[in-house]
Amino acid sequence: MVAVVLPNWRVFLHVLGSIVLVGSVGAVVVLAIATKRRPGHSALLSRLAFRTLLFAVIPAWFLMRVPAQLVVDREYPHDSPTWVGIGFSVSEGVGVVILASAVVAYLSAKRGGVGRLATTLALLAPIQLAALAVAWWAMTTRPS
Amino acid sequence: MSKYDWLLFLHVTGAFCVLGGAVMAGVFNIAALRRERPSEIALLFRLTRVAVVAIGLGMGLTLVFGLWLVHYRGYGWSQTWIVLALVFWTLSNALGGIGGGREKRLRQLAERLASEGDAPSPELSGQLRDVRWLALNWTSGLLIVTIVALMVWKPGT
Repeated sequence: MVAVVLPNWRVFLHVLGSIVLVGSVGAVVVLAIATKRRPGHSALLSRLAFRTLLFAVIPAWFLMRVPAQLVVDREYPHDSPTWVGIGFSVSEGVGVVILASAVVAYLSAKRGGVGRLATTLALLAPIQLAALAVAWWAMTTRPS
Repeated sequence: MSKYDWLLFLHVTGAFCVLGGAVMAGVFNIAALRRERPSEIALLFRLTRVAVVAIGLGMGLTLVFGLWLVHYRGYGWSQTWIVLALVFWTLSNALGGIGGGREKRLRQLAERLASEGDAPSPELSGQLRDVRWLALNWTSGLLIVTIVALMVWKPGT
């Protein structure tokens, strides 16, 4: 029983982390675009974008990535297949972009959500979402 | 890509839309709970409409491609995880629909108050923090997470 449940917990946590990651990045996309489109509320929206990155996106990235590593270590201890490599490459690239976005969002929030930093965040956030879509394509279709 | 790969990819895409949308709505709702000015609350509820579109699209995709997958893979329609997933999908949709209707009325109230001076309102705050409404939304989200668990463990196969 334990042998069946434990590996599935890792998969479940990985899936849950991926879902929260996609949803919270989606929220950042909406907030970043709204910051540009609603100048009257740009201070509030840019602050929310930063907090979402800090309290939802970054923890969700770890929830997605750590169980993924545990699953791969167990299932493919010596040589992992191509689709795992695609997933890891994309997720690590997204991790770097998330960190950069968090710095940009912090600086943008400090400036009240106006200017080039707000535009940069509105460009970076959809890139993360598109990259995550590539990852879930690789995870479901498992190209060799 | 095989036909199975396409079906699975579209089914999973639907799941990401539903759950991603639910997380997005959660982020905006939590943010709205922490605000007092009606104009800010109305703005956050307007943003929630993006999440509602994602959830609606995802609900459709998960059901259509999920049923197609069950047929294609030859799973039995009476298997526990499939029956439970369909029951929870229906319940979650119903609860989400009720919660969504209430959210629309709250947004309209916030928009009216914003146009009438934008002063904090005890009526709006009270409705926003109504425990029944919050319980409805969280239960709906929990049911969807339970469906994910059913998809991972597949009890009764």
